[in-house]
Amino acid sequence: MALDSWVLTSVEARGYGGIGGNAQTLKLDRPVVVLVGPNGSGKSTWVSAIEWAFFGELSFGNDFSIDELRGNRAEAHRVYMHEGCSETEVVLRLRRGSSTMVWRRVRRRQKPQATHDEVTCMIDGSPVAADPAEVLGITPDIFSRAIAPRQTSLQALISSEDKDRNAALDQLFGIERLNTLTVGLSRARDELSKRVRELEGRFDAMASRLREEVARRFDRRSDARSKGLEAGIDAGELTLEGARLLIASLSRALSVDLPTALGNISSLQTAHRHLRSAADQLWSRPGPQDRLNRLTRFKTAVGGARDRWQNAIDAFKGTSATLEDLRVGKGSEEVVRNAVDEAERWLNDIEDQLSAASKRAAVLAKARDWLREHEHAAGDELDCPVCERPMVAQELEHLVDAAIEALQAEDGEIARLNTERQKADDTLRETKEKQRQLERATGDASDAEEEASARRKELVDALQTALDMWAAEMVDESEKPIAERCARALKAGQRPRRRGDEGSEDDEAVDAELRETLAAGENVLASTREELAKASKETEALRERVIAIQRLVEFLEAAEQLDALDGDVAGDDLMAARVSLQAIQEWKETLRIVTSVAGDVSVAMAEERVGAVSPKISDWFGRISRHDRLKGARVYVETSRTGGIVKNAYRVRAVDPAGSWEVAPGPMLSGGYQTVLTVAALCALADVDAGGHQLGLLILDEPTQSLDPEMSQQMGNVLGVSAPAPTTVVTTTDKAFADAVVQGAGAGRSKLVPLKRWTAAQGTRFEGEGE
Amino acid sequence: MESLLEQLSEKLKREIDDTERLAAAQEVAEAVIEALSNPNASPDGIKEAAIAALGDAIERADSAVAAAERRLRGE
Repeated sequence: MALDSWVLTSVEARGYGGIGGNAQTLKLDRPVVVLVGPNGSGKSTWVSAIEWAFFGELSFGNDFSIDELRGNRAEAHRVYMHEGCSETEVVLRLRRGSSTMVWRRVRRRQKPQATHDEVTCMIDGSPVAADPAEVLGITPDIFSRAIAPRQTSLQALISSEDKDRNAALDQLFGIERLNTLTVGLSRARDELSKRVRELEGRFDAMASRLREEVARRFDRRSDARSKGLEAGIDAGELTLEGARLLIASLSRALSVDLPTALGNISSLQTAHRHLRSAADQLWSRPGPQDRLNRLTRFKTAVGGARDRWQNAIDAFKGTSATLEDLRVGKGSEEVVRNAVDEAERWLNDIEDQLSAASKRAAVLAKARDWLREHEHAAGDELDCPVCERPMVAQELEHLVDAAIEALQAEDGEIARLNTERQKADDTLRETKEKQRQLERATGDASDAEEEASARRKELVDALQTALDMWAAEMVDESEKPIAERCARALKAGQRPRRRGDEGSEDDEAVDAELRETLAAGENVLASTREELAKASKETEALRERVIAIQRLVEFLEAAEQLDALDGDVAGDDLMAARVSLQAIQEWKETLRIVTSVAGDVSVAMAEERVGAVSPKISDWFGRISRHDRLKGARVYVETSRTGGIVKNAYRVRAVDPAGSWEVAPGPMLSGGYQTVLTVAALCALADVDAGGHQLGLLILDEPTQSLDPEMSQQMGNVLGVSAPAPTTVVTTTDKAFADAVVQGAGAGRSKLVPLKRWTAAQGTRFEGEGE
Repeated sequence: MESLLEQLSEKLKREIDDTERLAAAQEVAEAVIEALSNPNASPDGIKEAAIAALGDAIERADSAVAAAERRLRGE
């Protein structure tokens, strides 16, 4: 046992587990202390108080986790607190030479998580960080397996030889760190290999992409060069200086002040953007195109309206002439109307005459018929039906016949009257036809006059619209005379009108003004077209120069990007990566050697370590064993090299004195002797300080499991005689075993601490004064 | 730990002739033994210590490759 271990001298507890609210102290003032008492009396509570004080909770291995109680909530952490106590306190006092250590943990019910515990560590009155690993080199695993191993751990210590054995057990044998070293180095080597593979993969991929990118950029530069040449740039101008000259020239032509000095591609791009913007503005500036548009609209609207007006006037004049000709040829409307009336009267008169003649003829015919129907003697007189004078019947008959003849003969009165009526009828029809022609010509003339008036109004509207257009839009100087003429024409056109004014001299004056206005507009239109064609050529030339600069800048950019690949990527980055990769490869080889050497060294040291422990285990086993043949034990190292990882594993065997019979824990070794082998291993390890910690304490909790009374007494005696640790605490329910321990150790080196049966009212209590 | 380091150093001297490589190996050995002296030493902790002993070679290579990759992407 190392001399620099801390020795636990007392445990003071209140409110912990079954220990009530009154503080009690377990004095560990002898090398061997045996806690003896019935089941549930609190023996394990006292030894667990030591672990709780150091770590704030108890390690139950894989069998139990406090988090399983109720998640990780506060209530779960109160399981260590005595019911009814507001706080729990455990104070450990330790000694090393003349130094003292006081370790104290307090838990309060309101904040029962370990992180809220008040934990202090004072060494020689000075506070130090309360870190068990730092102060004593212990962890929960080391404590639960090397200092206070539980029953299951005791068995596992010797029986677990499989590959997943707990590293803490390896640490007991002092080979855990060697395994950690070799495994860690192997992992480092694997990690390094992985990183190198990854980096080399990226490097190769990047080199491949670089080749592709160089080819792509080369093509892009060639393409940009071709476009530059197509844009009219000489091959000799495809330089930065060439770009500067072109840009300076165009900026003068466009009167653009460039904002930056032309030092690099970026500044060239900026300058190009400014020039392009200026060229675009020039293109979109109101000028000849707008004037052309306005004059075209004016020509179309006013010219069209004027043509339609003039056509209407011509039509009106034509109808007026026709009417006048009719009047001249056929008389005025009044004359014709009188002629019609006269013809109508004439016809009516003839009709009356004809009617009277017909009536007379009918009467005469009736008289003749009467005369012919009545027999008359010669000389009979009759009253003439016409003159009513008495006449001889025969004479009268002759007279009637003659009258009828005069009326109805071919040249008789009725025939004459019919002829006369025909003439009158023809005359009436002719005069009415004249009347209709006059009426039609008058209507045509009136319609034509209305049409001319409407077209005139349309013309006035067109003139007004044109003037409004010029008023609304920017009017060029060349358009002003046209606009003024237009205004005069409008004024003339708006003068008051009378019927019959259409086509008058006044209209001719308006038309004359219009013709001159349209002619002036046509002149300006023609000049505008010429001006526009010229401006378009100039603008097109500027745009071509802008495009040429763009092509040149694109070429320079492509060239720069190609150069950057050759320089920065291929030259600098890739070279730096290659050098670094080579350095890593060197390191990888170095690490391989270190790993190999560390593996060899760890094997040698593990063998050395277990070689030191092995005689001790054999000694302890031999002293406890009552076996007829198995009187010793042996520990040795088995080294595995898997995937380059060197790992050491211990093997514990019970052996006969000659070493010819070796029994591994398992079916060939009884449970009792497995317990003996385990306790022997623990005692030997505590003896040689194999745990690597600085806490001189070994707690054997019920170590007599599976032992018969004789073996139990033998073990107790041996433990008493050879206390394996500076402080060895043994708990047992076996009074005979306890007595054997104390008897073996002697009264001066040991003491028995009996506990009373636990009660809810009083909790865990020691028997005797002061305990 | 001192004993372990001494044994490592001695064996490394026997294994490595090249002075520069031996110095590098000694540097790794010291780094991992220092990490091993930590009570909570773990294989991963040793691995990290050994990798860290390489210095920034990996980072340099990674940075160089990454820089080239960025340039290739036009960033």
